[in-house]
Amino acid sequence: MNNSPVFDEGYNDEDVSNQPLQTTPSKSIDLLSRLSSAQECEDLAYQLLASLPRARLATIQRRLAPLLQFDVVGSLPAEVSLQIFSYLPFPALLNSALVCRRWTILANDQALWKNLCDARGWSWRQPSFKYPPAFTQSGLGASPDAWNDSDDEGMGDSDEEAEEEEVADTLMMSELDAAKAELTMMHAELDSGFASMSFAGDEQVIASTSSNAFAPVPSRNRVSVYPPPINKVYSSTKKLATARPRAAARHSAPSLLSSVSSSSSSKPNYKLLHQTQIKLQKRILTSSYRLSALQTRGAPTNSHTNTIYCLQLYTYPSSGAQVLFTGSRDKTVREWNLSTGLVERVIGGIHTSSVLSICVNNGILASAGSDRKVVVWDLERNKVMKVISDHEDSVLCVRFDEKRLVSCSKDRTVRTYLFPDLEPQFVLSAHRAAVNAVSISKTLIVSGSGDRSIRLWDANTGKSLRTFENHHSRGIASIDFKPPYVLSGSSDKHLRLFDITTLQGWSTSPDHDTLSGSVSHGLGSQAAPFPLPSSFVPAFLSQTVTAGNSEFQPTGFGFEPVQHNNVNTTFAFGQEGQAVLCQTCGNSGLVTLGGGGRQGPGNVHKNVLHKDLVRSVAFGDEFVLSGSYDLSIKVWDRRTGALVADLSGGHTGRIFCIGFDCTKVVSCGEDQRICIWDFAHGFDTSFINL
Amino acid sequence: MIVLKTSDNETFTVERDVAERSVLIKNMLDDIGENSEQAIPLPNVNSSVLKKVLEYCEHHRGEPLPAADADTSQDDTRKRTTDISEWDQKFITVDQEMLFEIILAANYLDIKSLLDVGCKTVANMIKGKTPEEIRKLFNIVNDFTPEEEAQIKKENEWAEDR
Repeated sequence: MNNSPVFDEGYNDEDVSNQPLQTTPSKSIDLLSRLSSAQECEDLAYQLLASLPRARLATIQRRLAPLLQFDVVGSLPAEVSLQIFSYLPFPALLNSALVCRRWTILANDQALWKNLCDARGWSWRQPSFKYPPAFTQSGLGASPDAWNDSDDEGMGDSDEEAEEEEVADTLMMSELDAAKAELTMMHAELDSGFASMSFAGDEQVIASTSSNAFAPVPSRNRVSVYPPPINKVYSSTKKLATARPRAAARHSAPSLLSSVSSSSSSKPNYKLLHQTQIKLQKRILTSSYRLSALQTRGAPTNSHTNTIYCLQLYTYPSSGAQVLFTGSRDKTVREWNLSTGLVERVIGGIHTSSVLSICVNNGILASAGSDRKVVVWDLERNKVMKVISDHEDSVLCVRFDEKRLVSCSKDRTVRTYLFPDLEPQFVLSAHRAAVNAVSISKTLIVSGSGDRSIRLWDANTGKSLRTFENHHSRGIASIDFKPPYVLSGSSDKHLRLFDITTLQGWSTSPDHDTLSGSVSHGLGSQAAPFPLPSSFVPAFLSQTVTAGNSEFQPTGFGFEPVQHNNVNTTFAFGQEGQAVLCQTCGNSGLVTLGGGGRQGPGNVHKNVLHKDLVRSVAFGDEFVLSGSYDLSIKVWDRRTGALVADLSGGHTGRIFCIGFDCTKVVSCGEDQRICIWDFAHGFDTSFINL
Repeated sequence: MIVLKTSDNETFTVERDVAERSVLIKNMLDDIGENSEQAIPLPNVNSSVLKKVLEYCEHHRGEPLPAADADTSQDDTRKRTTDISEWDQKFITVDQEMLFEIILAANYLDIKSLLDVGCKTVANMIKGKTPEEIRKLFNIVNDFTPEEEAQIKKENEWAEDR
């Protein structure tokens, strides 16, 4: 302290404190450098500060505050920084990447994005451009005179009352003949009025028909004419030509799905995967799709020649190539290459009438027909494994997994068979009307019938565990099952989702309180044996359940614990649902009714309900879908039952079956069309596991 | 009783089960044996931080330590929740410097639960903020070129403007 005069000069002047600290560094650093340690500096500074009036101290404190703020994240070891980021939901992670360069590197870490993807069940698929080996076509297809007979349409007496379904047949015949005259898909599609609903008055499209040119459609139209005008709209699609050389060389038809393949990515890019999945969900939420038709009446030449009753998307495990199987009233099953839009294989000559239901799994295809047969087909060897003809009337639905095959019929029974030999196991007969749909899990079978009931069976013992009545006011037309949730569609025009252990869920029916996300359980005495606990697991495990239904067997009622935990942690109803939604899409406005915010939240299900029988329902991770005789497909929020998208304008006849993955919805029906509602247009989805 | 010696040469005498919340100290004690009366040097922790850390260890003494492999098995449930218990919340309400030092110390001393609390606290500070707000909070300078920033913005967009 031998330089005290200098020191005094600098700091006794009260005016100095009015100037910013940074403006006097030269003097003070000079001064501080003579002090021997930080400790001395600190002591000195404190003495100085202590001598100041309180008002000055307050000013200094405010001035010092920013100096105490620093990059905590960037200053930590990287593994700790990453742990911090691991607690962030994705929108916060994206914002973090925009803070500074250091944060960008941290926030783009693949491990973080992999965790986010894993939590959502999104896995990286190494893009490959292999196509499944070319199949030799078997079967001869349908004889053209076969489609005029009466048929089940895959639905039995859906309501214990007969429905007149044959009226449309004569009309269809003339339409078919007219359509057959058309040579190109393009023409057939437009001339048969396919696009008329969406394009009324759009002269550009009409012009493109007459000139036989694939003129680009203005992108403001959500519905595009097949093929999608990708090259005009998305500059990035220039890769397409190189990415799919075989397809381009073999077929003149452009790719049906306008996803852009990038051949450059060799390492998993989980951020890209996550971003793409989120964008796809946004597309669904905003009904931003491109509609195209895989087949229309009479085109392409190898297509179905009659009503298409059923379809399923299937990905070959070996090649990763995705195909579509369809079953028709023309007695055949066809396999479609989704890249080329062409039929790759025809499975015919086995069913002697309509193919009403198909199921594809592990290289095996099962088809059920109004000829009362279930045919099991080995896709790899391309031959029949087994023909089952036990049902006494049309087989309306068939499902199978690794262990068993389950079929249901107009004969009011459900039959089960065990792999590998498909020996008959049980005949489940309790329904009082045709069993229209079945769905299975490892240990349970759910069946829906025209008798308006949904039944739950123990797959291992064949016992009837529960009967859910009064869930619908008319017959059950469609069922999907993801334990513990059952989704049902009905002739009463509604669909309903519920947890079989708590009966919690939602319904589109105004008779049920759907806004809160939990239904009012005004169920019949028979159907309410469970005390409706808020969480199904404890009630389930402790079996506080009183068996109001004499058929209910608590002992046989078993899920794998794993399934429980999975479902319980990733999927929540009611109040929790909101929180999950935010996490999902980054905004809480998802549950507004009416899809895309076209209708206010107060407008409850008024114009958003199906106007006819709900023929097909399907579970997704975030959404559930329904296809109806009212010609529309609707997408619902899985947790709340809110309508998120309404897909209409694709079909001119009743919709019989829908299927979907995270990139697209496929649908088929009475009008002989297979529609593809592509939500991934313009996106590279080659790395998404479908 | 165990004696701990900080970077600024202060010594703390604590009970063994409190000190052993730190896996680092536990391992050291296992190595040097029971009867050593030597102070354990903690050259990376200063006295003010250690005092705070020991307060945490004291409060949570007796609670089961996470298993060594808990990292993977617990990960999924732990990951998505940034809930912090009330006491921990109060405990971790400190200035950024102390928060930083606590996280560093928890990492060095291998006290997993404290590291979690620290990291979650920082995550909660980040959540819901715009990049500019985050910069302001942590006094970070935006060092992107406009081109870089535009590029990242493009990569990060997940909601299409409609």
